[in-house]
Amino acid sequence: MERSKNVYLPEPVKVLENLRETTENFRLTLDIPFKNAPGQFVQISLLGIGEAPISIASCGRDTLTLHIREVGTVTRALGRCKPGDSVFIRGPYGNGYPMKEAEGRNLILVSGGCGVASVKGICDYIEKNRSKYREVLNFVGYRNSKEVLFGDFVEQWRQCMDVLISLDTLKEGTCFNASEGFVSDLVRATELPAGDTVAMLCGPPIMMKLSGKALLDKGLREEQVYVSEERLMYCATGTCCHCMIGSKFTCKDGPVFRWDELKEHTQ
Amino acid sequence: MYKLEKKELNNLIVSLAGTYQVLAPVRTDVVRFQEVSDASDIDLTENSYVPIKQFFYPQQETLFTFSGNEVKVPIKEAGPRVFFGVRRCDLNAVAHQDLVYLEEPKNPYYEARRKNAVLIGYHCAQPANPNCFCGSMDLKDCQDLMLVERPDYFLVEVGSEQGEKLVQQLSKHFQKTDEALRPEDKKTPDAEKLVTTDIARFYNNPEWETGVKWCLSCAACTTLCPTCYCHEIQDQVESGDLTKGCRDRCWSSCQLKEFTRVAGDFVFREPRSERFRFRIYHQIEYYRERYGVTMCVGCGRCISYCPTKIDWVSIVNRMVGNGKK
Repeated sequence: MERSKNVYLPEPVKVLENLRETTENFRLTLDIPFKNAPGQFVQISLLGIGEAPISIASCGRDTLTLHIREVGTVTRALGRCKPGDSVFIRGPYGNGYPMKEAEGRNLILVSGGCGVASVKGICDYIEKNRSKYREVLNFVGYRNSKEVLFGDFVEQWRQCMDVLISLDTLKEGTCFNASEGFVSDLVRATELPAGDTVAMLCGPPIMMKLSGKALLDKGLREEQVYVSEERLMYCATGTCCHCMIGSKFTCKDGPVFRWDELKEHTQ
Repeated sequence: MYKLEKKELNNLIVSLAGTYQVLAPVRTDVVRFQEVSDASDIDLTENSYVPIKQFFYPQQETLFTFSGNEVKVPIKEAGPRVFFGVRRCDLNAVAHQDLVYLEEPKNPYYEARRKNAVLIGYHCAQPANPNCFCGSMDLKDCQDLMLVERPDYFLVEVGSEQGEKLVQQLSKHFQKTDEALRPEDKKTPDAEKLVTTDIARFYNNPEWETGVKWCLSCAACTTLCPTCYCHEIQDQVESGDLTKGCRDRCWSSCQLKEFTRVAGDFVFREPRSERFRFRIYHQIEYYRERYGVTMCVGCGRCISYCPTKIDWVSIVNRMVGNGKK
């Protein structure tokens, strides 16, 4: 049966690079030109071990970049992949960030921990489409200076946007002029650009909740704030039901939701 | 409208069995759908314990096998099958699973099993189960043929082109009749037990807590539900050769804590009451938002076969009675 007719069938892809970023985090570069919108995800698997949904950390490049944290069986096995190994991919899935609706407006990006992977896709997109947006403010939060992900891109991002970095603690040292505290505190302490703005958030539930509240307190309306949710999922096509948040399927209706769509369930 | 004499039923089953695999409710340990070759095996006195979803969407199935990086898909189209004596609730349940698995992107495994199935319904003149409430749900006619029992014969209402074709093929067993269906032949009396399906306003009602005090998280409700369609996907490997194995899909249940567990051990619906509420909301509200009908068909299995008899219909009715928000 053709792969296109059977959504469950993944396709083999070669690993080009497996870059260890921190003890638990690694970046896989896969040999496949990939058409995707920022914020979408793929199902990546190793046959015999299993499948995991991973957000795409690149956009419109001739390779596919995934940032993965070793937390379960599949991700730990993927962490041991070497260049030349095959992994299996299906996707892309999900709606992605509202890049079109955000055109002509200011952009505020807020990410924490692994959430920066999804925002990295937005940065790729902005680099190619910078003139479509007004001011771009990219807030990134890490636990400490040893947990920095995509640090090698920060200078490149700073060519076309403001990047503000927070570290939960400076005890392990500092980097990128980071401030100490949660990224939500940094958002609260920063003067936001005037005019129409769209905010896109990705990170752990508590980080999104606090950062979203900070933005709302600073005058953004709920319709201006988008969050990217993470849930357990198997099918990625809206049938296995594990990723449901109320009536919404994270895999199909999300993973990016407008703040007011989920308010009843996540707040 | 056609008529099928009761004494002709066995001949019909024998004729059908020439072309089709005929599956009908049979009393074994419980009543369940099984292959029959004789009408005397069929038991129409109560609804089957196990719904027929397992024939289209089995509890476990292999999505593909692999050897190294070679992948093979084992989809085999099911041969022609007749399901005889399916109640209106279960017919609607099949239609509701069709909405999920035959919308794009179609589930090719489900389609291959569902494609050649003919559904012959059996109307419930009495509730088939003390807890059923199909009269409260908005059920439709979605059978190929429907049998309505009269003392000596069945009235046979044609519900689809496929049904008409079947009657034509086996015309020697059927007679034309002018007798019309009565209003009670379309609804089961005393089956309007759920007061409302408008439950959005009860989301924060404290009854969700009290109602679930006895839940064991055993998942009998979702396993025996004819509409529940959630699943998970797992890889299996051969013990002697780890490069060979298969990727399987199997039923899951939103009543289990693991259902929403993500990396980092975070569970999104930890309390049982939230999982219970989710099940009822999915059945009544969430599915309707997407597909335009309630997923629940009112068969009552989740109440009858709950080991602690959690009766969510009474719980929702209590919320209406209390008028609390």
